[in-house]
Amino acid sequence: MDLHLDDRLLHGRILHGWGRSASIRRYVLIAAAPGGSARAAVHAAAAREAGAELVQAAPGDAPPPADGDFWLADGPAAALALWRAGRRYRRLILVGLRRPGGRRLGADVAADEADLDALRALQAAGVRCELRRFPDEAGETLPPL
Amino acid sequence: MIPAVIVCHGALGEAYLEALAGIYGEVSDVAAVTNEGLGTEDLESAVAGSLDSLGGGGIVFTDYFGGSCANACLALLPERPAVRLISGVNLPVLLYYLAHRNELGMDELVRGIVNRGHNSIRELSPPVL
Repeated sequence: MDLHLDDRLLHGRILHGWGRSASIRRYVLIAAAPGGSARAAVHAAAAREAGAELVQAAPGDAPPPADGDFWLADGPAAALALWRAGRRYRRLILVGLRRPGGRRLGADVAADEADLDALRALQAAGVRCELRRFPDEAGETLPPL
Repeated sequence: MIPAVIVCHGALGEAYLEALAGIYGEVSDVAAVTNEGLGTEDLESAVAGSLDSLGGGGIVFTDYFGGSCANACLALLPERPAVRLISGVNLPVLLYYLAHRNELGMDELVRGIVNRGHNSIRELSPPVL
């Protein structure tokens, strides 16, 4: 499976840009520190609007992958924690990460030092980290950070 | 695939294209036309030229019925049977259009767009906690 990364979690680009390329039946949102119930409820409403199920989980409580899943982490820390919890994924696709003042890695990806450390750890573990805003645009593999 | 032209006041049409590029990705075969600085005939010519550049037919979205943009587009309709005109453009209808323009025929696509538009303006309730 692939893990996508966007600090906004479910929003227009995920629902319409990525959602059009595949038949998504379930969004699995992984957050290092799961948001409050209001934020969770907002994402649940967005998933319902898209006609999909939604699972929101901490990295250690992620469900088994299933057909029709779209896995999405809210940051490199969550992605790394998911990996360390034993969930393996082939690629980490960086769709959007917007850290004010962070190091710009791509058009919509700016990472702070903690993000960079987590990405380095994932690269060292053999995860291919790829910059890709939309499914039909060419992805760019991140060089070693 | 059914092309489209977005005809709006000011910079709204271009802004829709820019927003769609951020949400949906690269958008082809959709053009924007503004009424800015154009008289009635010039605006009609601009819309006609834009349609012709996309093959002559397609869907024209305008901002609101009764405005100069919709008026100019309406005036073109009698001579362009392959063009359909929809007023009240917004992002939900444009996203619906993009998602379905390759798979639906014109009549079904237009029906779906109008339904999506009717359904897109809602009062949202606080999320259930």
